Amino acid sequence: MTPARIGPEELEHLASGALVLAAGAEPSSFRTVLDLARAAVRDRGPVPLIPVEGAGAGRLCVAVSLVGSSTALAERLPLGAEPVRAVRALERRLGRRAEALVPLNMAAENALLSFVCAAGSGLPLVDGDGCGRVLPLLEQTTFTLAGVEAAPLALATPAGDVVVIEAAGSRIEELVRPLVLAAGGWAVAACYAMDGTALAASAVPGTVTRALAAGARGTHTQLGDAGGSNIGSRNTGSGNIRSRTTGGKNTAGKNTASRTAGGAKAEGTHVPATHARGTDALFEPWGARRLCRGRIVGVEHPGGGAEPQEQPEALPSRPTSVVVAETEGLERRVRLEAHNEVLLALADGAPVAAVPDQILMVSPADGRVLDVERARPGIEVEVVVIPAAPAWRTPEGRRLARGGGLGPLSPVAQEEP
Amino acid sequence: MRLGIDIGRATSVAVLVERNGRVTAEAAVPSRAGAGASVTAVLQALGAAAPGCLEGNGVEAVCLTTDFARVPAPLGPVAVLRISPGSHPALAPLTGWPDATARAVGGLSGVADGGSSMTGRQLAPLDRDAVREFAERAAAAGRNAFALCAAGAAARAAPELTAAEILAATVPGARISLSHEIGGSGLRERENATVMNAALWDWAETLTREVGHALHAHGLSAPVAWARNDGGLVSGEYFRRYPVIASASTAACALRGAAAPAGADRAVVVDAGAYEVRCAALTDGEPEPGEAGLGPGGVWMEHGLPRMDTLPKRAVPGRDGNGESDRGGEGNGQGKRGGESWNGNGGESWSGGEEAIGGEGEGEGDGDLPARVAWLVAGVTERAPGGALLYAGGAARAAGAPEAVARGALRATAYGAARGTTRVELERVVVAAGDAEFARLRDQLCGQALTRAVAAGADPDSVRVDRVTHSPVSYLPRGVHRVRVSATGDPAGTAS
Repeated sequence: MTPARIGPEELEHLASGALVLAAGAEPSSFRTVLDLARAAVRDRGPVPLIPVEGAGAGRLCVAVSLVGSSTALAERLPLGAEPVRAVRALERRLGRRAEALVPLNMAAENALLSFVCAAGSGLPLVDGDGCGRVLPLLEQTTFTLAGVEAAPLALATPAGDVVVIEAAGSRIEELVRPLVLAAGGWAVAACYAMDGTALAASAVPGTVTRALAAGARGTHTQLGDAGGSNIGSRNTGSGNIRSRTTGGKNTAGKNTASRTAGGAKAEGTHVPATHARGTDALFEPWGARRLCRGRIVGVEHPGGGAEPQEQPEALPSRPTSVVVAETEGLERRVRLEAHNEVLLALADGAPVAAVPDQILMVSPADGRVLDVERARPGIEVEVVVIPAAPAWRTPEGRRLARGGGLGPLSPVAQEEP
Repeated sequence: MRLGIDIGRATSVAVLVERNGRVTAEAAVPSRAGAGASVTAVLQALGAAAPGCLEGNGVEAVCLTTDFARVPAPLGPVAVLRISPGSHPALAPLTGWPDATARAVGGLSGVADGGSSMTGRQLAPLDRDAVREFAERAAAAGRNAFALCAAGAAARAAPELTAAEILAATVPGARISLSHEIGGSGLRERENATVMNAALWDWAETLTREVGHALHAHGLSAPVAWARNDGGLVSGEYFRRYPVIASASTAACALRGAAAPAGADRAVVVDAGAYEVRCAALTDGEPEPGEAGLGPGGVWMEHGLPRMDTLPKRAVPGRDGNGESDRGGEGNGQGKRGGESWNGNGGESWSGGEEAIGGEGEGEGDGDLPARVAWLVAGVTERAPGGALLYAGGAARAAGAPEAVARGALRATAYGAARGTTRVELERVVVAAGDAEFARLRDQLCGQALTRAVAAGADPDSVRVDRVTHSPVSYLPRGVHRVRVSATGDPAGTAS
């Protein structure tokens, strides 16, 4: 059920929900884009939300995404006009007006920038995206899998520059990256221009609604608005963009019955069993399943840890194995193999989840996704698996999700002289 | 011996601590409105409890906690100049601030073209004329406190330094708060902290003067150190220059003070003050660092406080499991706050609650406080397991601490201040082509941090770099690193 529009209240839900999948979102950048979105809804009113099949044949749809570094965005602040400028440039190149906008993915700033773009241009926002989860490269989309090209692609920078890349083959990422760098580290891209029919066939449907639902139900995210609402009179020392689930017990999540206050004991103090702080409410809209709950007992860096500065650009993490000892049920050992994200989960040696599904470690205390880089022995986690959209399950989908389907894009290849 | 003094909201506590950590005398009195009066009262009590303990030259350093929110103090007016290309009006300086704080600071702000990207590349040449015009405008308005924040200042400080020269030349006697000295990622958070730093100058001036008089009156002439929000110490001079880093140090001191006598490297500490219960974790003796949040005046910034979970008024999930459990502190928030806000303007309170812990509550009773605290502890323990459970604060008994533990808890904060080490932190973004260049830049920063630590009151013989962390900035070319250096040393005069 797609709500008809996103007004001020829905925007706050969207913002909370957009953080669910975004491990390691840059808080300052996220707050900046959220403030832009709040200003946009205040000035321009609510944004219509249409289902993926709602754009229809003969109507031009355009995907919108942040490219580059969100740290740079937090430093070189946006004008707010970048998303609309990018779309307008693409329209000029195509000689047609866009009639609907679609987020490239729903991670943090991306969801909000699409909203800013829709509010600024007066176009409806499509309830779906080109990913269904989060992947780092511009081509890693279900649009690519459906044969839609990212180019022509228009970039709008905070300096007011507009660059249109006409056709790039598979070199789009290499072309965009230095341009973005020259522009100060970030830009907004309008890309994947396609017909409404193509969009309906290739987008992962309903993801905006999922984020709205996750943000609305059971979650309470401290988005840190010093001016408006008064979050922060507590917990101010404990984080801003911080989702806390409240009463997962009451949500209709499948797993709730089995998971009351596991681990909620401290120094022998009795804590009523109903006081679970679960993550179900947060992840339920994504159809997530809980793989296990346990304690991290080991963090390894197989193959000798290269120093971070020796890592390829854009992928600053190194291969990491995280071992979780299940603290309930079968008390299995769950091993998570990660490089930038968790790629594979093995329970007592048997694979139980793998990419393209998204495997997340979540802190049950506060519903936050735990970055692989921050995994430390002793931390209590829930391992949650979000099933990938069907398109990612094809051989092409698996290859693209791994970043291996596009040779020149491989970060290692970029390093070669 | 060091003398630790915690001027709390309800109680002022003083402890005399020997070099080996042993407490030789302690006293607690109800806090007075003025910091000087509180110090006087608690020192009298200390003198009465252990006659002659303050005489002679036994006290090598006096270490004090700070709490800007304890008694509302007026914020000083500040002229705010951002050096950056233009941005959306919703992101302008001072936007999103609580009205009262923005009013107190004076609302005089401007933007001059200039600044750098994260890679240190110039975004625009500094618009010197705009800086000069702004300085003249501020001077005409009678301002002489300035806050300067340039885009990319962590990567390149030059635009801020040049603009500061212009300001100083245009406005004689100008005092300037520079964002690259305050640090922090994200222009808006750093700018806010830089502005509040300047706005707190008067508060720090008054506090150090009052306390200085009170100490002198008791014949104490030892160097005075002030605790930072992370529990480290800085000299009075440094505190008066950078008060924003030491505007709420009671929390971190409580954590360290509870852990130190227990010798606990890993601990979960319940800090049960008169008005709220906070819980935080220490790993390797260090509090878990917090993230950005509401700082003094209800302004969003990186305040350097430990990450703390605070017990909301009715926090424990109700027995009806109505899902409202964990949000008690927010609700609509209105009408839930008393006079404890950062500047008495009714704006966001950083840590103020008004329901006295262990008191009557509001008809709801606090009989279940230990259960609520246990729930709070469970949450913290999940993310930082394996540590001892320790207590700090005067309401520790009511929060569930055993009788014997609760007695030591009252003095934990003052003890934590007394056991502190001088500490400074430096944060920069460096761009290095290779490992050798990176190592050179890192060493340079370490040198700067050491110099700063001495400037902050550390004994030069004891000063050392105790932590260097660096991480590449994602989605920027390799070689762009954020580097944080922490340097520490014994407060001057106390080195053994």
